[in-house]
Amino acid sequence: MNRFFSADIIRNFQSQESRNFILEVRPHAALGSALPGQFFMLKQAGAVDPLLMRPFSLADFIPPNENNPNGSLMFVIHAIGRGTNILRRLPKGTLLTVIGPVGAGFPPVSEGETLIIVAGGIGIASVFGLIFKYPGVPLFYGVRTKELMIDSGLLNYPQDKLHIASDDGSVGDEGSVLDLLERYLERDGAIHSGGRLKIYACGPHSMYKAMAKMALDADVYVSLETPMACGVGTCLGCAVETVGGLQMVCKDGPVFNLKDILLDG
Amino acid sequence: MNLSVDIGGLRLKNPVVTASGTFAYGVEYAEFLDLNQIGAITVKGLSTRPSKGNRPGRVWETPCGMLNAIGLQNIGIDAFIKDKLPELKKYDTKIIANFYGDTIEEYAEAAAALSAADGIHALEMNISCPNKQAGWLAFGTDPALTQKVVAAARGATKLPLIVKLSPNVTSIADMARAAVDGGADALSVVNTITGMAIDIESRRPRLSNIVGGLSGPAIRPIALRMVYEAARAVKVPVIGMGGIMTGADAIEFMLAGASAIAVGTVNFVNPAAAVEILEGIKQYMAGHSIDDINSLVGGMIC
Repeated sequence: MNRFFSADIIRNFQSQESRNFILEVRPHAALGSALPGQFFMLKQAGAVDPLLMRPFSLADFIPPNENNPNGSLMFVIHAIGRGTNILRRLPKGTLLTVIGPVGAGFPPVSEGETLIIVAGGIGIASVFGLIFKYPGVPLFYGVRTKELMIDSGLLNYPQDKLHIASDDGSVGDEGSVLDLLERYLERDGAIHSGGRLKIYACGPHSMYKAMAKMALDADVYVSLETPMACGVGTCLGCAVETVGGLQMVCKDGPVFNLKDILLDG
Repeated sequence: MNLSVDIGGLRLKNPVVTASGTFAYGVEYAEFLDLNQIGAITVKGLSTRPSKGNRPGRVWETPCGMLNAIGLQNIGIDAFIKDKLPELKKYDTKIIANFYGDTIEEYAEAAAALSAADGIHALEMNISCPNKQAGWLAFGTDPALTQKVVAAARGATKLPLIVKLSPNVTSIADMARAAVDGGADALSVVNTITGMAIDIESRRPRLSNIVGGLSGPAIRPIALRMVYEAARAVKVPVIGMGGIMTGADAIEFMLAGASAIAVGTVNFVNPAAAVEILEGIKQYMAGHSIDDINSLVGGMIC
């Protein structure tokens, strides 16, 4: 399966309240199937600003239909730097070049294991794949404020499984989503007594540091983000320090076992 | 249409070479393009022992370019010969092994080890990585030391020896002459230009090494000028490189005096770039009724 292909933008939907946007692109070639947590490198074809492709987790894959014979890829993006702000303004029909799916996604959850998903901020983008694959698992989602929350894709989520916190209390509980997680685990600890607990998370570095301190009785996997150039393991630019030495986020990750990564520095 | 060029005894079927450090060990790119179509593949810089490279904070994008401070991370010559070369040499292309040492002796040792392997067609000597310490940088910036280290490698190999020059010098012509005096069969011009970037919020450097090498189209006019100056200064062929993105860019380097061109950063932007650039070169030649690529070399009209 060719992992390098062109695609065109079929939807670039801007949030009115924030710099979040949903980008839907139509690949011009058949794709390999992507696992939750894998990502794609995107850029406007031929553009030199930005020069490099940008990595984005796949939020959802919409299967082939008569308009899109290769299906379509959906990305949920928060415009934060020059590259994402340019991408945000690209109109429908813009030609992109794409590499993907790349990287190692979240490990599959086996029979008898219990999964909990934790998302911080735009980290929700890379756990959407998990949410769709394992519907109805407990989801802990923290945002700074209500305007930044991405609720499309969560509208039909069972309310008793959805645990939301915001820094300013504008949505869900006020405070850290990790406090919600901690209380939940104390209260409902018995639910996973039958099988191994897995916590899959995507969020800021500070969230991972806090999670590392929580001494969670679980296998915790987190998705990392670093500047990267190639996305396919060749430039060696996206190195992170792990207990086993340097590893590449694009190829060895982006999903790593939390206990393996050295978070300081 | 003749596309083949001679680089100091290394005969390439076309002038498109992939630049060291941007194409891993070659085989990693087989899924993206037909390696048989490339003139030569220059592999990631190798040392006698494996090297871990620099701490994270290794790449940063800048306007029309990127900074890198990978720090010459590589698997080492032995592992390359054992694990990568057997697969790579199955392809119908030329293999250029880029190498470096921390001392003059190590350069000679590395050149000898690579020359003993079956399937390597030429050596490219890196005396110009901007991510090394001050003492090491002298290999690529002090003409007397350049000549000495090149001569040591020259004595250790019978393969065509290409020396990759640093642009971080006052006179590229002087450096080109020094490398040729040391015994270089050809020159690669140029390596990355030293640069840096700072995060103004944290006030920390974007690269853990603080400084790194700038590459990409941002450096193209500078690289082109240096190719022009180096090619005029010496009689050996020059492989021109620095921000080449298209066939048109490649032609520009050849008109400035390059006998072949290398593509680097563009491999990260478009992993099939090398073959697309070759197509662009062919289209230019067809459109301008040029039968022999060599007739373009140094063909700028002043």
